[in-house]
Order: sequence, then structure tokens, then C-alpha cells
Amino acid sequence: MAHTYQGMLAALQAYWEEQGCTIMQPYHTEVGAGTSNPATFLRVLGPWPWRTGYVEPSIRPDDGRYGENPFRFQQFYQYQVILKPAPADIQDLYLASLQAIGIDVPRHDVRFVEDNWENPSLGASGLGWEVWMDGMEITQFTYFQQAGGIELDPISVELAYGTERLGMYLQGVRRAQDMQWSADVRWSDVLLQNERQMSIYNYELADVEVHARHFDDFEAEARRCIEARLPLPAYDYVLKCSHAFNLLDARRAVAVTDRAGYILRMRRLAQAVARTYLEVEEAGA
Amino acid sequence: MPDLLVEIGCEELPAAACRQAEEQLPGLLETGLERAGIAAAECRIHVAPRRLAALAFGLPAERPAERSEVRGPREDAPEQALAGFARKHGLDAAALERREGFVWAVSEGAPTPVAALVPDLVRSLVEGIQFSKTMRWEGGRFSRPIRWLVVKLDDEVVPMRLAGLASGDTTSGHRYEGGHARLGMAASYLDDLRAVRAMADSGERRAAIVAGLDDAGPWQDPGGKLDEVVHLVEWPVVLQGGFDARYLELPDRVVETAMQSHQRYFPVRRVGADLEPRFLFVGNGGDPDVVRAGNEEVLVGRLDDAAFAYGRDLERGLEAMAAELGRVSFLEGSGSLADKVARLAPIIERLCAENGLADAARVAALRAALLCKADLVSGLVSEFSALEGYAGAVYARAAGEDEAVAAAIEEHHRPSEAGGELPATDAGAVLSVADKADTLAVAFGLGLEPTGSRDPFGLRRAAAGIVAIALARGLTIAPQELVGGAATAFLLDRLEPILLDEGVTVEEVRAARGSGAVEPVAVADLARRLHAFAGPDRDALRDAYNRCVRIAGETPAGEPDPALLKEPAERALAEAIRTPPDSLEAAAALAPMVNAFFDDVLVMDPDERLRANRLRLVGGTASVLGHYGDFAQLPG
Repeated sequence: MAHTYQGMLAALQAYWEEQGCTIMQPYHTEVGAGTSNPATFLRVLGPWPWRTGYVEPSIRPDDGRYGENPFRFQQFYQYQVILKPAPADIQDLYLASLQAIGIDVPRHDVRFVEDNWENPSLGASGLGWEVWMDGMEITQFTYFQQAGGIELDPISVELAYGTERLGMYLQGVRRAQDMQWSADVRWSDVLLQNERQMSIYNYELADVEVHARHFDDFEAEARRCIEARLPLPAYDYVLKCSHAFNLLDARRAVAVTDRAGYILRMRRLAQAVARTYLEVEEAGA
Repeated sequence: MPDLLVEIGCEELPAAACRQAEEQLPGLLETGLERAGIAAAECRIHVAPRRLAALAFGLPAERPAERSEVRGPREDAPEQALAGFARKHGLDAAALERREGFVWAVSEGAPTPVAALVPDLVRSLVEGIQFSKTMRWEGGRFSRPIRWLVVKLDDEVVPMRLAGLASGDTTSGHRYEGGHARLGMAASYLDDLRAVRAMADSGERRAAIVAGLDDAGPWQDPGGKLDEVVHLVEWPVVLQGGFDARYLELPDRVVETAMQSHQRYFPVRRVGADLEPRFLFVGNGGDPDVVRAGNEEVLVGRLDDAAFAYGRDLERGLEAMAAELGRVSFLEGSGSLADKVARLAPIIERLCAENGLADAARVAALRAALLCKADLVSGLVSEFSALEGYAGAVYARAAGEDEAVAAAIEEHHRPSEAGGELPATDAGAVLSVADKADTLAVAFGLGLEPTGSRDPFGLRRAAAGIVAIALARGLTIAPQELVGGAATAFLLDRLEPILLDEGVTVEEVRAARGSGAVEPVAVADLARRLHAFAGPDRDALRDAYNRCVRIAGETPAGEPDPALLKEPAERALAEAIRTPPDSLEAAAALAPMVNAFFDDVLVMDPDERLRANRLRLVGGTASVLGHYGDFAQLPG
């Protein structure tokens, strides 16, 4: 198989390694996107240069479709790249990465179409594009402007590849389920049961009271860590808050009027973590 | 006569940024040249996603020398002072001119070569553009990063630095098919870029796109995407794709929206015929077969999503959706959409009663009110928000609601923008006004009124919509009851742009509002009458009114006592205003009497009773005339 899914991920990894990226592994607690991984959210803060690339299983309980929809899942794999500061030839570097995974870019209509990104629970925002290939969105390309409410300097660029779509395209299949993961194992062999069971849990079984309580507990724990000037464990608890919130949301247990309140609580934590992280790093530097 | 060529090379600028640059650069270039003290025979601006170009032809080779004369100390000042003054101007004391008792530093100046003026001019262009959104990168702040800079006078590069870049003469053509190229003179700019497969001029791209679309078939652009598409490509290629005709079982607008929202495809349909199972789109290069296949795949995915959502919505039904509105919040602190819907009924009842609308309209509006927000929880609207209102109407018809109800649901979002289409039915108009009025009243109650340019809840648009509907249908709305005191002025403020468009002046609008009328129809009517009445009669009325209000501030309460009116002029005036004038013309006819009164009668009579009585008469006159406007607002 010329283009297995794992082969494509390995090719992306190899490409960004050549560009001097520190190759990280997925984070150990649930994140909604590669941006939330501390290797992005915290590392884009402060003046210190940083280049990284990693696969991130992004967990979005409310996107689950019991494994039945061809491209909607409660867990999908982003390939996340951060280059800090953003190099002047970043668009060319990005296009070369498509070439590296087997896309003959000049045969396609690859375009950069305005898209501005914002994550209110992290106090983060950026400007950039969604990258289109023949009308299909394949990557979010963002110049981060702010994280944790802090104006960034230098500016980092984030590339978030939608690997399922790219993999489906390369293999010419219409359903992610039919993608060859490896030469003899398909995507559905690896993840279909996970989609089914997690969808049932997320939509039907997750204990609303437990997760509501968890949110409060995790928030308190994050605060204690911030007071102890331990931004890294504090941030883990912010992420756990965020996942608890996403579960409550999937269970339709967040009244719309409460939503803004939850988001504000997470943003305040993220801002406090970002400030503390900078203070601690600067003191140690 | 050198020609200037400036090309600011960027990463893909958003379409909105391209339009802003295109609007602003001509003025910025003109101002920059003026400030540099040079004039061009002709200026041109070309804008494309990856380049902003400013061309100035026929510049002078240099800015001529300017003679300057600066007066210094008196001739007889101490030697030291004279020497100091001379030094400051780079002269020997002996070179100072002496006249009129002073010394003068006179310089003939030196001409400035135009190349020396260019860098500041270029900076003023880059720094002068006001984008609605900007970003920071290592080189500075702009809509998107600037990556190259060409600055040339004829065939010479003008060396300068900007955004961390040095100027040069190398441009970048089409990203995949063009490569880099050396730019020649300004006059060949568009040709040089065509050679690297970029159309730098938006007019040229638009013409190429329209020609390509026209060739392909009777294309439609219901969502107005063409303006944006012009700035999404540098080398437009119009392509056609197809899809399975079974998707045409979906309502047309659903199919069109799946094509146009996000993807910016153009549907194809002959006048009076059905949509065709094909679409046109504008590519920017690549292998046409590969690009077509990819885009077809994307559209089928979106049509599948639409069909799935549509089918599920129909199964669920509009009533069931309406029942879910309790879980959707309206404005933070104002409860849910179900609460909002419940507030609409009494507003509709009152509007219908006040305007004597037919019972059928009232019944339809009340029914539509219950259903008008239901489509917000539909799958179709969550997939395509542009279908809000339309989806509700489609589902209402599917559920067997009256056509008047379905129409009112769709129309209650109108007008969607200033000057946009208005509700066509009474029920739609009343529901639209009620919904917008409730939004205004709630938002003002929560202290969410717009500040400066920030209007996150679209309150200006809501208020403008109410006013537009009221004026178009002659609807009485009683704004103080409808939206409350504070929002009434806000509502009436929206009259201004409408009336100014008709040629009524700002002063006339203010005068009309000063009459104390708050009914939009009445205020607009008065403002138009004031406008039509402009001329000597209106001026005389204004002057008479102003004479009254100048002293009427001290008016004691009460009516004038007829027994105390002694002079003929005051008796005549009192008699005249006893029956208030019934038109502006009649009010103006009082002006000579007012003037006669002020000329013949001493208001500030030493007799306190007479004085108070005359002040009452003046106050009464001001109030009678003021019924037709606060004439003090009119220019004199």
C-alpha cells in the first residue's frame, strides 16, 4: 500500500523533524485540539524559540456519531506543528510538507482562504487561513496573536492538519472507516469500537453529577497549583476541566445561560496559568 | 519624467482586506505625492490577493528647490547673536541679508531628487491603509505578512527598507505556475505579471471570471459571492462540476446554499427553469480534471449533510423544534428564546389594534410568532445559518400551516441589511417589528446598548429595520411603549440615514424631531414637509419662532388674560393663535403677526402684570409654532 494512514503520519513526522522540530508525542490527558497540548499552549508564551510537531488525538465528545458518519468522530487525529518564531518562508515549508506526503501540489488548486481562529476558554486567538485543496479544507494555518490573554512576541505559526481527510484523499476512499491504517489493518479495525462505545458513553452514560463535581474539583485543584506556583500541574487540571465541560455539553447538561459562565471560569484559569508559567520560566531562565 | 512602481508582496490577503486596500490606496497615493511635493500625470492601483501595487506615471525628476527666508535678530543686535543665528542656518554672518532693520537668512535651497522622496511615500501607503483586522508578525503589523517589496523608478530600484525587508525588483508570480520574475518598468507591470500567470488587476480578473461563467451557462449568484471570489484567485480558471440529480429534490435554496456558503460555487439555472445538476466554480490553477473531481467530492459531502439534516428536521417537525426553545438562551439575563416568543404576542396584539389590521393578519402573526424561532434548533440551520427563516417557512408549509404563517416566519428576519427587502405581508411586518422591538427593549434594559462602532447584538440594524418597515407601510408603532424611553431616541436616530438619502437635510431632521413627535412616520413626514417648504416663507417662520424662544424661557405658567391685552398687535396675535395653525403654511402665515407684535409691543413692560401676560403670549406662540418643528435647528 503506497499510502497507508500510518505511512502518511510517519512522512509528516519525518518532514517536520527535518525542519528542526522536536517531535513530541500525544498528551496524556484529553484535549479538544493539538493547540491545547502544553507543547503548544504554554510553549508559544515568552521569548524562547520552539519548534515542535506531533500527532494529537483530539477528543470532542459532541462530534461523535457512533462511528456511522464518514468524517465525524469524537476522536480524530490532528497533526500539529508549531514554529516559533514563524519563519518567513512558512507557506513554502507547508506546501513542501504536502509534497512530502505524496500530494503533487501543482496538479491541485491549493489556496489560502481567510480564517481567523479563537478559543475563548483558553483566551487564545490568531489570524490565518484554512488551506483548501480542490475546495476541501485540509489544514488550519494560524499566526497566533494571543494565548492565555497574553499578547505573544514573537509570533508562532500553527499548522493543524486534518489527517483523516488527507489520508482519505490519498487512498481515494470516501469513508475514514475504509482507510488502510497499515498494509493489512483498516481504520475501522483500530477505532470503530472506540467510536461506538465512546459515543454511547458521551451521549448516554456519562454521569452528569460526577462530571459537574469534577469540574468544580479540578478548578479548585488548578487554583491550588497556581498558588503553589506550579503552572504545569495547574494546566493539566485546566485541561481536565475542559474535558469535563465537553462531556457535560455532550450530555446537554449545560444550560445555555451557564455556558458563558463555564467558559469564563476556564479562561480565568488559563490566563492565571499563562501568567504564572511566564513568571516561573523567567525566574528560572 | 520617471514612472514609479511599488508592489507590496503579501501572503494571501483576505478578500475584505483587498477591497479595503483598493478603496483606500488611490487617496493614500494622492496624499503621499502631495506631501512629497510632486505631481504625477497618472496614478493606478492594482490589487490581488498576494500583491498591492501603486503606480505613478510621469513624475518630475526632482522636487524644485524652494527659496526660504528666515528673519533673525535686529541688525544692531550683539555680534554674538548674529553669528549664532547665521550658524544655525549654515551661513557665515557676512552672508546674512540686512533689511527692514533685521538680518535675514536666505537660502535658495536645493532640488530634491524624486528617488529621495519615494521611501517616505511608500511607507505612508503601507502605514496608511486601515484594515478592519490586522495581525502582527516579525516584520510588523498588516493584514497578513508582507514578504517582498518592489520599489522602482523607471528601471532603477529605489533602495529602502520596510517591514524588515529590503526593496528589490523581484516579484513572485502564480504560486505554483509562475515562479519568481524580475519586474520591468511601471508601464509593463500588468504584462510582466501576466507572464508569470498573475492578473494583478481586480477588474481584469472579474472580467475573466464573468466571461468564463457566461460561456459555461446561465449562472446565478444569489449569495453575492462574486466580489469575494475575485480576490480569492490570481489566475482565474472557470470550471464546471456535476452532481447527482437526486439532490435536486431538496428545496432550491438549500442546494444553492450548500454551493454558495463556504464553497462559493455558482448554481446554474435558466430563467423560469429548474436548477441544473451542475455548478460552476473559479479555480486558481492545477490540473482541471483533478481540481474538478475534488470539488465535486466536497459538494456531494455538503449536499449529503444538507439532505440528512433536512430529512431529520422534517421527521421532527417544526412544533417539536419550537418546544425546545426553552433551552436556547436569548441575551444573557433575559431568559430563553421561549420567553422571547411569549413576549411577542402582546406586542403583536397592540400593533394590530393600533393600526386596525385585518384579523387574519393578526391571527397569522400570532401563530407565526410561536414558530418563528423554531428553526434555530433545526439541523439545517445549524449546518447553514444563512437558511434561518427560510428553513422555518419550509417546515411550516410541510406541517400544513397557512401560507400567511409560513410567509411571516420567513419575512420576520427582514430587512437583513440597510435598504434590504422588507416584509411583504402585514403579518410578516408586524412580527418583524415585534421581534426587533423586543430585542431592543431587552438589550437596553440590560444595558447592552451599542458603544462606538461596537454593536454585537445588531441593535442598530434592528432599530433601522423597525423604522424602515414603519415608514414603508405607514405603521403606527408608539415607540415609547414599544421599546421604552431610552431606546426611542435610538430608534428615531435611524431615521436620519433614510431621510438624508431622500435629500432632506440633517437640520430638517433635527427640527422635525424637536417638534416632540416620536412616531417615526410622523417625524419623517414633518421632516419631508420642512424640506419641501424651504425658502423665504420658512426662513420668516424660523426667524419669528426664534424671536419667541429667545425670551420664552422666562415664561410664567398659564394662558394670557385677554383683559390685559391692550395693544392691537398683541390682541391680533392672541386671537390668531387661539386656533392653532393646521399646516406649516398656516404657521408661516403667522410670522408677520409675530413680527408686528415684537415691533409694536414692549414685552418687558415696567408693569409686572402686563409683562407676565405678554410673556405668556410669547410662550404660547412658540409652542404653537414649535408643533411644526424646532425651527431654531434650521440654519439662518
